[in-house]
Amino acid sequence: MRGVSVLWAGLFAVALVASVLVGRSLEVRGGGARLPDDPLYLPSATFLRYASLGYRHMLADFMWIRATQYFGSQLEARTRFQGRYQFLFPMLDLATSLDPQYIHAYRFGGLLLIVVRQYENAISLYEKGYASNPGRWEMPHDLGRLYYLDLKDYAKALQWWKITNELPGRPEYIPRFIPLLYFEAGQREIAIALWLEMYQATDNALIRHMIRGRLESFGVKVGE
Amino acid sequence: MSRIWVIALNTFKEAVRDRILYAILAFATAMIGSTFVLATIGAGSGEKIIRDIGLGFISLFGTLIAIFIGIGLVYKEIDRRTIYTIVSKPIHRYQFVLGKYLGLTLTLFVNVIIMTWALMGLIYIGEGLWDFRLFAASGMILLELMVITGIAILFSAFSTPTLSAIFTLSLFAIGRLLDDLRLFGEQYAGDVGRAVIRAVYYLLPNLGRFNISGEVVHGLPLSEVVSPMAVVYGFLYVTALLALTAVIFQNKDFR
Repeated sequence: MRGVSVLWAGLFAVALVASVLVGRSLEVRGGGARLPDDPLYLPSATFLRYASLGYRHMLADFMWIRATQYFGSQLEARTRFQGRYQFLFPMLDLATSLDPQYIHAYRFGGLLLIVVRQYENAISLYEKGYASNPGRWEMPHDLGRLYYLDLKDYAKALQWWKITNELPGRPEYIPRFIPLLYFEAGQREIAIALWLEMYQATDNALIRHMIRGRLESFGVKVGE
Repeated sequence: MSRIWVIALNTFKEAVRDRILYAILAFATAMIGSTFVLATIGAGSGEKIIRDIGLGFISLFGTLIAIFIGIGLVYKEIDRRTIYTIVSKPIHRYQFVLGKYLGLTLTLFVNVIIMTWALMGLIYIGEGLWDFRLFAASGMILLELMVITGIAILFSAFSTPTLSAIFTLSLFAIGRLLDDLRLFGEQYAGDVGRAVIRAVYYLLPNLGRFNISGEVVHGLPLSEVVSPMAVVYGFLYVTALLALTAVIFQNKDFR
């Protein structure tokens, strides 16, 4: 009886060690043409919505984590491969389709897309976020920032920050930037008029000083 | 009432002694704990991830408990022939069904409370606050589990545990997808198909009505999220299920 137990224990140990060794050899042989961490297949959002049986928010979180992990793994592989990050947008799109109120996924996901210069995809993601959450200031704000800083399209930046300005909870610096965007978009008179209006409306010495400096640089003199 | 309560307490004690309950509960608590790890790799959305996945696990493991204990509730008594002792006592069969149901509901209530506190404790460790809003979500999860238990006990009254588990799991899946099924019917089916789908939609339990976890996590006001009509719907559906189970059990021949 004891001999049989020893035999089984021995078999267990041998099988375990062998499986570890085979696993390691599979790791060494793997690689090939595929990018590390490249998914072979991404299901559609509609399919996942049904398949999740109502646990779609949970699935959206898993997809979001997967997207960030994918971004990190592709970052490491940058010296070896062209056409990286091709699944980044589809993954973010999936996460936000499963949970359309996932503000963080739109915002941080958009930033990841900007980092890898997928501007069109970033715009799509932000616009989708705004369409799903029309009362939230974050996505129009980020769209304005993308158009201003990365694409230098000041008219579009102005358009989105004017929307942001109307939304509750927006950052307090937005109104100060709008005249600057008018100026950058070539609408100098409106910019000056808005700065003057702001100058007269505020008691804050620092803000008045900043606006005065800005106005004077355009040749407009204002009193103390 | 006291007879029903005695059976309920016995069912509760029996369930508490069941090793499968502890296995599921321990696994659920471990999985809820693992959300802490997921949250740390969630790149800034950790607070949402802990809540979403934690509530998801409470619902998922609660469903497993409801199904795997619920399907054996009546069948076990028949299989072990202890039912003869029970039906020979001055007790109505409907009292037996109600007692069994309430016993398992009590078990589920205790389990959901334990899992919710585990999740809240985890959030407290991470964020330093007690998120009592989660009780709204877990309350609705409990209501959903009560409906699932009702389905499980109904099948348990006339079928084997394996078949009961298959039927209950199928109804759980359909119940979770009923809104999509209706939408599908309205878009693609003909007149007859639409009528059939509409009938199915109203007859089967719409479990999606109890799923408010996403809205709670996104911070929507509870007054908008928790619908009193959904609660009424849940209790009415449970009543219908128990009444049907009582009818089947009443007419069952135990010879």
